[in-house]
Amino acid sequence: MKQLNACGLSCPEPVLMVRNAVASGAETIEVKVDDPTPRENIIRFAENKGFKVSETQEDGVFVLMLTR
Amino acid sequence: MLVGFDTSDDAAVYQISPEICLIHTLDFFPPLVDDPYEFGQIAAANALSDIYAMGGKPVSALNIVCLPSDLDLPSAKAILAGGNDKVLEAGINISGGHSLADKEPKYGLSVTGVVHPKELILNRGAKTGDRLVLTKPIGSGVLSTVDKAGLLSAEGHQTLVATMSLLNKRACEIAKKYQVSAGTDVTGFGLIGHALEIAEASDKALVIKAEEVPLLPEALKWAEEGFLPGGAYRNREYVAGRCLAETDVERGREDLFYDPQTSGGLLLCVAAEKAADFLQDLNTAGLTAAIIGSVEEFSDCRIRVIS
Repeated sequence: MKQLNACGLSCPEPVLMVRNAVASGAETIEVKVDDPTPRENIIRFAENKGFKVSETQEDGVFVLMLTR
Repeated sequence: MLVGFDTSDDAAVYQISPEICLIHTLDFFPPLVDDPYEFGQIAAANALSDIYAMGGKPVSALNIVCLPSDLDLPSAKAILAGGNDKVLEAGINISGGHSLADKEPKYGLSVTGVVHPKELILNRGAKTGDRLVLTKPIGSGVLSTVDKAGLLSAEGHQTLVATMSLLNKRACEIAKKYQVSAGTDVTGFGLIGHALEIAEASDKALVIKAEEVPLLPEALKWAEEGFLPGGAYRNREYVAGRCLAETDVERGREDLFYDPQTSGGLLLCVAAEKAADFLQDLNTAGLTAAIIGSVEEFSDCRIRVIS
């Protein structure tokens, strides 16, 4: 599983990180974000690329689990 | 004072004689493209747009410029040259301005324009049955985000810059021939946000046909891939409860309707019987314009997006 921490980063950086991970072949990605914009953008990107997205929240941090 | 804060119009309007209204506007922002000359052009076109959105003609402009102390002189000059060339294209001159040191560069204009009171285009005035005409494609917020990520094609970048630096001058001049009933320019609040301003000020509902809205090339693909600027989500939140989209409108397309635009086109309401000729005139002038919907009586929802 690929783990990414995009907390403190603003778009387009977080979605770019996920895009790069997918391009390098990752099929299971856990990504942490702390802002609603990258959260929404990553969900859109992942669903567009055929990933299933599940989500948990820890202390204001969204933990997105992308699998396909 | 004819127009102030209350109807979210594009500029302040002050009537000085039975035949002349003064229009005052000001806009400036940090660079959204790397090239300083392009940035100057875009910022100036964007500031001038508020005059055109009111049906006016610019008469004078002042620079507003913030520059970091370590910015190289050629870049600073290029920003101002871009602005100056765009202002000349609008048929006026820059007659002064103000500059100060700041960490991040910012550029824009304060513009004064004039309009005959009868030709003033306001957010209010849309009539039931009017057609909605948009004079530029949307998607500049998404594509600027993609450009920032270094993923936009050279061709895509060119189209983006050309669209954002295109003056709304011709669109405004053509609009005057068709007695538009209401209008605005599409900028930071996105297509739906600005449509909502017209709907609320006119006490009508606006229906937008999703497939008819012109999009910049590649914009839909990148919206679907999640390259939306934060403003798109904030705009969606702002209009929540006042806008309803049919469920079969694609998510990426709907997202673009909230995408904040820089120097976007004019959104104009025109009588149904004049709409086809109006559109033809706009397209003949080289504009990527389209009829994107219509004005209806308000019942429960200000904006409806239909597939």
